[in-house]
Amino acid sequence: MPDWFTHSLIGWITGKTTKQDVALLVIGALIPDLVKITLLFTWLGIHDIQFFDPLHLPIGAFLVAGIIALFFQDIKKAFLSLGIGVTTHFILDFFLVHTHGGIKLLFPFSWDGWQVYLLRSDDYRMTIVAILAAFLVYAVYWYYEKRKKSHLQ
Amino acid sequence: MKHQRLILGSILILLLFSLMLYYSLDYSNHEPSTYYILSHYEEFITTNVIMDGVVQNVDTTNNTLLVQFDVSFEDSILVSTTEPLQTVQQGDIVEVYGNFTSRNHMTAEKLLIYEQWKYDMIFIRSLPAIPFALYLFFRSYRFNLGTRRFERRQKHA
Repeated sequence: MPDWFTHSLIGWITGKTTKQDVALLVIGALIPDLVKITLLFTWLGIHDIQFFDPLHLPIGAFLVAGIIALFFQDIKKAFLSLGIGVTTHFILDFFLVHTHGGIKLLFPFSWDGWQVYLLRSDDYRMTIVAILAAFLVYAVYWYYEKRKKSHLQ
Repeated sequence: MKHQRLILGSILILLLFSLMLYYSLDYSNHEPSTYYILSHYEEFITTNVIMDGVVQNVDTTNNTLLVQFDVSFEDSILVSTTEPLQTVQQGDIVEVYGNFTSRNHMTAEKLLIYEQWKYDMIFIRSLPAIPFALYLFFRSYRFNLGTRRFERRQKHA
């Protein structure tokens, strides 16, 4: 996993550039990492908890997104934004280096995993690139907003 | 329909729960965890497995690593590898894919080593995401207890 901050920044950038609900997209980008609840059990001395692992699978994450979307007025619109966020998470995770296996895209129909071994999860340069990209997007939007306001006046 | 959301929510929760239950009951047949492998090591002798743990000792002469693969298992496993170990240090996190030759030995085909501080940094770098996501969300939405739904704030409507 890249760190949550990188995931949330990529979600934010995607939300801004696709003109989707940024807040929900960022939440969606973090949904698969709800699997980290397992760390709490490990900390409590309870080992080998696999129950929460499906949260970090596409089908599990989309189901969580669906449940969250029910708490919004426009379910479809909320699910779309949350779903795009979830997708950005898996796209980013798809490029991580592991010794074997990958993301189980077809679970529960197949346990096979797919992965492009390209980026190490401890590579902090990925976070730096995400921060710089977010600043760039922010600056571009700030500039255009300012120009739009000055045209209206 | 009045209870449409409730029915849909119940179906989704049931689906998710079923999925989680199926995974937790069947994972050992497809992708056994380190804990499971060590608990049932007889089943895995001479098979290829993936395990992750903490480096206890590095022997650059014999090119081996002594790895504690699970906090609940005090005895460590010796991992033989052909990869250079000059930069590996005690405490580093290791992910091994290889042949489980005996309860105390493994021959690594692939080895992925994370320096301890870099591994810890992943978690530290993750922390700003929590206030960032909460700020973005609650700046745009507020929870209406009456309707039990999140509503857009006026400013962001």
